Amino acid sequence: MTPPLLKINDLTIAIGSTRVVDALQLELLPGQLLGILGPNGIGKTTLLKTVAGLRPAEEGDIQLLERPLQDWPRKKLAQRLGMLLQHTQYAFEASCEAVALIGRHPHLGPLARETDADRRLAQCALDLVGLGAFAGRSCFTLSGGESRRLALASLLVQDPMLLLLDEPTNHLDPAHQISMLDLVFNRVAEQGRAAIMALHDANLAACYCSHVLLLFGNGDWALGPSRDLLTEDRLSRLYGCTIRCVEDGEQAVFAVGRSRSMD
Amino acid sequence: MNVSPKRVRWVFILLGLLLPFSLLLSLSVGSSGWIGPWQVEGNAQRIVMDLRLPRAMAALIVGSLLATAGCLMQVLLRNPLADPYILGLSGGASVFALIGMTLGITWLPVPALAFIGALLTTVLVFVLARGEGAWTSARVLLTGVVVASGWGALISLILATGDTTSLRGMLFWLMGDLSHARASVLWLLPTLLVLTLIWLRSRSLNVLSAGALQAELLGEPTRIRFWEIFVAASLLTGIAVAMAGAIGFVGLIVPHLMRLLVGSDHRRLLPAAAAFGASFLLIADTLARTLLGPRQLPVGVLTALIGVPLFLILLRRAKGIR
Repeated sequence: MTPPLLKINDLTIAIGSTRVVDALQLELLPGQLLGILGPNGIGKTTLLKTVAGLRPAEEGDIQLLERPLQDWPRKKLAQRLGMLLQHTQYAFEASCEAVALIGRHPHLGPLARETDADRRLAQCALDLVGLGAFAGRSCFTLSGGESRRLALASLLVQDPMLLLLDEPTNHLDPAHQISMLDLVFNRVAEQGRAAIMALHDANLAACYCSHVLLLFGNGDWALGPSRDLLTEDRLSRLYGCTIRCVEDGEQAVFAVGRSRSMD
Repeated sequence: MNVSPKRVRWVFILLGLLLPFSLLLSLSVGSSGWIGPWQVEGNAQRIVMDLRLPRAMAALIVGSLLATAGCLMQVLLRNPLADPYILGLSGGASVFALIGMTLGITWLPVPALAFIGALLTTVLVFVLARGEGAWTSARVLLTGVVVASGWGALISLILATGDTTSLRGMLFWLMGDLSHARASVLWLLPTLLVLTLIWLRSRSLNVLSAGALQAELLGEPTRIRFWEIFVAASLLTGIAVAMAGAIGFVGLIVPHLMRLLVGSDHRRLLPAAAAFGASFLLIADTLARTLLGPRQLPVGVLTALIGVPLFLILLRRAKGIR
């Protein structure tokens, strides 16, 4: 049996007095794609940041490749774990190629310069996210969706074993949502990597995620294969509104029911 | 923005020519008239070697230090408008140097006192202006400006109440003035060494420009790096202030122009800024010595006259300022 990429044991996370998860148990194997679903402000980002080692856990332990997260030197960790943040802001003007190339930083020695091979990796990632022609363009000229795809290109260049993505489909039109998640899905399926992503769209989670983690608030959580966990009842309880499952024979689609005020 | 390698090469060639040119100019021109580099005898040689060269060396060193400190502050605050003078580092350095001198503290040299003042201000501005998540540019600048004017008031207070009251001293600490600055050619070596050490960290500076969280995710121990930058920027500013008082806007104008010419990659930006900062201050000081010659202007007046309108234009055009 392959060892888990990520193992979370009795993890408790709290923001002030608000509990995000209580005693979370989780094992993520290579090839698995875990979606985190929950209403706004429930702590999806905080959970991802904790797994990324950006903040300490209140209780419990997190192991990456069978080694406690806090024992990883920051640079070695960055070679194996990367995260797409919810917001990317550029303070200074730089070309898209330079922004993508920054993903090579943890792989290079302190005094090394990027080689042509690194530059090819960056160009390849830009091609993958559909910004191949933008290599020389300033990152200040990009639209919201293009910025998002550029941030993903940086992450693909970093090429970690475990990819954490905080609402990767923000600002993206449906076609780009799908192509972005296709990229993540392929990376996970083909190369023995794993990903955790916070999502707002139950349909995308059903299409792409092998497993989902639902955060109900007050530390309540549910974890399991997407097809078992994504049901009308559970999603309606999760978001506190009516969600119906509509089947057309080919796929099941979750639709938001009409709000009562419209009756 | 399109920074082609060819253009970068040309910019560096021109910067490499500008530096010796501005050095020669500042050695040749002055209140005792034009002295060509070929006049190496008698009185002329003494004027060049004893008066103009030490002052030119001071201008060169102070210019490169301030420009580099500007680049570092801009990374630290993720704001292209950050500058050691605007944010009050120079003011803090001045106040501490002045206090040390008026109290007659001899066990700490003036540059060390200036360094402490600059470091204190850096940390103060950073802590006060730091927001959750994104940095809010307006808060950074406001904090810095207020802290800077506070230091300015303290300088005036010290000079008004102390024995050392003199208009010249006031100008020196408030505006920056190179007329008493002297540096030996040998000082170039430690300056070059410090600037090289900072330059070796260029890729980390690039990553830190992307924000603390992003830098952490890319393997940078950001807390340590921030302290390194605090200390480095304060050290550079402290030394510059101890030599020439609080010269403004060099740390703003120079990095900004160089960013336009060679881009934001610090591997190119830092050497370009250091070289242009040196040339810029050399030329500004030459003008300060000669414009109203034989009367001398404080060089800070000139840099401010160039810097203030440019700062306002940048503030107006700056992207992402809220």
